[in-house]
Amino acid sequence: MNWPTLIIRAALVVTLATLAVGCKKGNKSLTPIPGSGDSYAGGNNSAAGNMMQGDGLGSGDSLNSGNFPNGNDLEGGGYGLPDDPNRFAGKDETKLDAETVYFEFDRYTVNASELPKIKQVASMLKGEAAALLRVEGHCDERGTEEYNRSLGERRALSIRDMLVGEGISPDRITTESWGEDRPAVEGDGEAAHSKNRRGEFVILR
Amino acid sequence: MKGKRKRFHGLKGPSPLPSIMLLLACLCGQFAGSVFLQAAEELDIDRYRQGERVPIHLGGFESTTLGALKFDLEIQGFESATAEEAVFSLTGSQRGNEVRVRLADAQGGASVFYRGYAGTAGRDQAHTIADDVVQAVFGNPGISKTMIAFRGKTAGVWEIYVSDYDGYDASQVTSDRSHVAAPTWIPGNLGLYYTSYKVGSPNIVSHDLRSGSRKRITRNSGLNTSAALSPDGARIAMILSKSGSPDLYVARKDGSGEIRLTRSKEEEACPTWSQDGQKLCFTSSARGGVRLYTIAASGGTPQRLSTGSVSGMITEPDWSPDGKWIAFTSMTGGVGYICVVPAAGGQAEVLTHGEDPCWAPNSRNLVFMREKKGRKTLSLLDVPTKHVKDVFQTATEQSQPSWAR
Repeated sequence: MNWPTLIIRAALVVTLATLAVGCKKGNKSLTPIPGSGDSYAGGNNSAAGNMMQGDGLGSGDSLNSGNFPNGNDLEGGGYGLPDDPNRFAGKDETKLDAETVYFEFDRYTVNASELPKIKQVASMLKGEAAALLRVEGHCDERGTEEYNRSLGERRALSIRDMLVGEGISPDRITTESWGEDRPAVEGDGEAAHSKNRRGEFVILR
Repeated sequence: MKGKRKRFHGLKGPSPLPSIMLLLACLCGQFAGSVFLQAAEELDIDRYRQGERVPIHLGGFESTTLGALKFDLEIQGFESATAEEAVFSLTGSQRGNEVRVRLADAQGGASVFYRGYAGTAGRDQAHTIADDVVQAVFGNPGISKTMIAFRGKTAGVWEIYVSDYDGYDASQVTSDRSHVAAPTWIPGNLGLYYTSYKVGSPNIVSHDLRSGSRKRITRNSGLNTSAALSPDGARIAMILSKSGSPDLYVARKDGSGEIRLTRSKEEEACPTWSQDGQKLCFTSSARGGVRLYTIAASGGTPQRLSTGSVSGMITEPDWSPDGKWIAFTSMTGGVGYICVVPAAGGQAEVLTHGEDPCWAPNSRNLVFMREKKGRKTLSLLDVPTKHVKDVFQTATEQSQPSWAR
């Protein structure tokens, strides 16, 4: 323990005692820190310096607007199925508004009332052997963002599974969850929520 | 000091740690290191155990410095007070190119420290002073110089941002004009992982903030999201749907050596690592309700994590860096609450309205999202005192905060 630390400690003891007895006045037997004290350049002993080790942030670094280069381009493709990773990319897209499937709150199972829509989409795909399909899953805002991203995907996968049950090859279907990020209707009542818990179909030709 | 006094008879340690830290370590109750309790004398600590803030009087600072100092101290357990009511006084005086700062007992006048701070007045200087005050009083490093990442929405498009912990000096680090989600820091590094929709399906990418270099971590159809780096930075936990349902996976940090940890047909979400890297906590609806579970990072049977009487949809767990706590969101009827539960489970405490809590490196503060006038904004919470402050908002909406640690 170095000398300045001892002095500080000593001062702390007295201060503590002062506080402990209820801030009584007259406790003047303190040794004040002499002189101008230890002079600091800003930034040493800081949490940021300790936190960022390795090849991370040096203690002298701080964030200023514009310090960071934007992220480089990400290579596209490569996300699809192993046999033909790019097969869903670069197609003409047609959204099938009339067939949008709606869900109950926090559920991913498809209600019987929605089955005709799925059969309709299956029929369309059967009539167009070259067409592919993207199923987009969405949620209302009454869940948290990342949970809803998982729930939206689960909904899209339920729809995909039903299409497969109708005889469509799973290789023709991709799923994409948006969670609560793209509501169909703004608002926080059930009227809006019920329109936002949905699965949408996009035909890729 | 006012109010009813109760005497606390602590253990007599062999070497009484003579420190005001002792008294004030108790301020944050169980969130502070208990080592100081060994030297306890007769202290009035009950009020602080219950989360009372420490009154401090600030004087003699330039206005920008003062504003930042107040923010930094008030979110870390202090409360601005008049000279008469304060326990501590913090006084600055300009001498040439440095400001000299004295932290003292506001009533007795005894100095705790007296230091010079070179450089220009302003936020950076205030952060340095504030962290020195926190260190002197609580005995822990402060958080004033830490950073957060988040996603921000401007003109209808979400991009990734990083900023100082108080929201200032924000820097937009993506300009993909696509869609992004779930940013998370690489422990101890100036880098992030996040989910990008730019490559088609949402996939996880890593992003070196110094060079701007980005790498694909996952290459799957369907959902690939919710990246969480292990505390040693070597492994990643994530949610992938390639099995036919969103499941929990772990892999090496580059995405190789992937292991599937859950096999439910229901959705899993939101993984977080224990401090020792041995366990994960995550959300699942597999056994009814949306609840928290823990599982060995090497695989095994998920164990339900009790949150006591706190129910609703339980999501977004974040394991504290000291390993002791799990913060999470409980949602009921569309209203979210920030909660904290011991890491082994038990009775959770509801702290405030909001969603998506993330711990600071001090395991005391949380950054979280709450909606104000229909817009998602970021705020900070001091857990022991439940004091909340909004961070400076850069984008129209901001969500999914991650605290660098």
